[in-house]
Amino acid sequence: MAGHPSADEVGQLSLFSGLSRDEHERLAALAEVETFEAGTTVFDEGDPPGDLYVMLDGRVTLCMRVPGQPETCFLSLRSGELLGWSALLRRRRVATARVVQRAQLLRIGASGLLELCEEDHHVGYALMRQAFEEMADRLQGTRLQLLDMFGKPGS
Amino acid sequence: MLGPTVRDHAIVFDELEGPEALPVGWSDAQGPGRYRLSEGQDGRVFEGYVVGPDSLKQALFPARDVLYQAERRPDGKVGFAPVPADPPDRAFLGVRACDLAAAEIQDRTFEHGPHAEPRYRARREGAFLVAVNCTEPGDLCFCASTKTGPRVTEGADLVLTEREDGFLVEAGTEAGREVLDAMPTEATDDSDAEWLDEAMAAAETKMGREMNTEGLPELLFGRLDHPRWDEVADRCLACGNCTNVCPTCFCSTTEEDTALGPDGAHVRLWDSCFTQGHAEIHGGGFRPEIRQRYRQWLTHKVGAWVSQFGTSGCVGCGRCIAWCPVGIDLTEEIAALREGEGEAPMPSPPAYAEAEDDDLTPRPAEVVAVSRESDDTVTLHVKVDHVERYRPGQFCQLSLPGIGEAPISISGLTRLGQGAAVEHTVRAVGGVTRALCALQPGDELGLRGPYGQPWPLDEVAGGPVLVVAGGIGLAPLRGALRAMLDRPDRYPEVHLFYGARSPDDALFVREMLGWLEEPSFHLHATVDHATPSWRGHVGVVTRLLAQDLVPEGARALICGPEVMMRFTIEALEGLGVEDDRIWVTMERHMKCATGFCGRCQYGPWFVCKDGPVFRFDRIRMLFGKEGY
Repeated sequence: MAGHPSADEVGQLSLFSGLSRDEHERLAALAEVETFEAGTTVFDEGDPPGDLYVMLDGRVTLCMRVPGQPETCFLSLRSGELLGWSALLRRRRVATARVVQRAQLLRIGASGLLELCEEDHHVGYALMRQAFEEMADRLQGTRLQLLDMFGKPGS
Repeated sequence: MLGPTVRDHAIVFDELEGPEALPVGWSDAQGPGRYRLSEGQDGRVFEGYVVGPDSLKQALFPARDVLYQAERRPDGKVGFAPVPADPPDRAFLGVRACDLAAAEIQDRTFEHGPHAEPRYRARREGAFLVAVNCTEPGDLCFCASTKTGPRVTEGADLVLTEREDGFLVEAGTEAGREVLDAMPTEATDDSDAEWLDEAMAAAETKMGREMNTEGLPELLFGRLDHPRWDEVADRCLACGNCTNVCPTCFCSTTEEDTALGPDGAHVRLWDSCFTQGHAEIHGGGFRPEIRQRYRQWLTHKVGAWVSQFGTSGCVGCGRCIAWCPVGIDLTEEIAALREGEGEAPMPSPPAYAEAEDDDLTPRPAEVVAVSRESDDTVTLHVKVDHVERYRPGQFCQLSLPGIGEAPISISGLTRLGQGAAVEHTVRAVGGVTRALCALQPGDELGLRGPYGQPWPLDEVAGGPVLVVAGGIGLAPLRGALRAMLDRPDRYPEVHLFYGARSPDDALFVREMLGWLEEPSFHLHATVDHATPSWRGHVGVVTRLLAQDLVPEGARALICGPEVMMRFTIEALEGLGVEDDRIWVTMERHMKCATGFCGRCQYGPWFVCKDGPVFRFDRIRMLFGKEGY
């Protein structure tokens, strides 16, 4: 299944909350709904900068290669969450996005989106703010994982 | 008979060979960090000096006590023989009002909680107390401030007051009256009574120190970040002298006193909250800094004590000031802490059911089955009688002779033909737990318990229940989950949010899959990291707590590492679950499990007897606070 989402569908995503119907329409025009089967990857670690995704359903897990060890997965994403935030900064992909349950994603063309943000700072601010909120939660979670809370005490 | 006598340049409490052993004519001079004796000219027996380093504590709660003898036979069976106190009847001469008050305060620790210590009780009951009114308080005395002296009001068999022409004697008990009747005495008259009243009123004005005790618990716990704590920590050596000489300090530790074999004695020794090990559990300690330890001591002594025992722990004897090598004076510290802002509401003492004797001796119990849960974790199925006494959330003390004891939560109960077994899920992290994990079916271990407060299964009935568990924290919750899933009529909606380190570390997976058959059960599991073959969630457990999964009116039971519980509570609060609908289970260093050893102090609570399960609003004031 592919195609542009409706402005309503875009408006329901927390990433775009606080924006007007008109703005939702402009965003919808940049976006396409894409389906990924389980076992596929959305992008790979080290890929050049690509587009931004928002999870609509299914499950995608972020994994990194660790030389000499099995690939390690550290975060699974669920509906409503950002996938591939590096697109907003035009950076290379830092992790591999593995689809573990058939997933529907909203793909938003990065160059169009960044142009819109530059042109209309109101939209840019709202979007970056939401993205920042999500990154902050993710950072906090990563710190807790870093503490290895459930590991053996003292080891 | 024990009484004051001169030894090692101090007036101590010791066996008296005869009246000549009394320190007649001796006097003391005390100041911060200072205690000096001098041999004077007058013939006074008690009035030239006040308290020395000893109190009734040494006699009633000795610094070293063998609790039981343990043996482990080659066939894996164990045996435990309690060592009772078996004290001779003893008379104590020259006990001051402050020390009687201190003994009454120690009674509350050892006799008036949910458990009573029979050794202490026997020694206390065998004590005949001859007290002395202090007409000449010392420079460090402040019992007038703590309302524990200088006059003896209760607790003594006989009360003496020394004056130039002899002693005024009052009988405080029937036993005292009998002794008095057998002695040559002269009757007193009103003028003697008047003299006594005046002498005691005058004594109150001669106190060398004073301390305003008004509202101290609230004030101290409201000022845990007062700069004074840092100042006092700069001087404090954390030597623990203050706790050794304090007549009410009761902290203890235990040791296995072994020869080169598997047998040994389980020995209790005085401990101090100033030691590094006092608040240590495997892998870390809760009070690494001296500042935190001094604060722990003082906030407990004159603060949390009130919440725990209905009385301050300070009797104004001044010993901690005299015997502090750097002369820290708690009356000065309290006065300095009064200069500041902040007060915290403190709870009232809990009401415990009548105390049951607990001589702290384990009973042998057979391990009937062992289930391996992960690389380093096993579940021991331990055969017990009266399985109905064991409730999810409580814990038992498991021990092995010569190796030691560890508090382990109850992870479930199983029926076994005629009998039943209590399950304990043990992770091999230290010496004792490694030895427990190595047990085989048919072996025996030592079992004490159950202890502590269970999960509030009645209180959470009727509405949706969220169970949030991290790592081995699922073990204390498994019994609660089983109980709830057995009764979908009472627990129509049970959500388990479980976070494990990796899929291989997840506990009870097979059982959890069985629970999925229950319509009332909803599982949300995640791991901190996985390989790509894992199809479940990856990420911290708090991420699972989303709006759509937390039903209206939910109550939550949480167990896991403290940092995980902190972020879980934050997430639940964000979703509208209030503090008084959240229960957590706390882990602190529990040695005795009965409230005697003081190791698991948690502000106004003991984790062993008031917890380990606490409703969160009751501990919010300290939760996550460094040093507690």
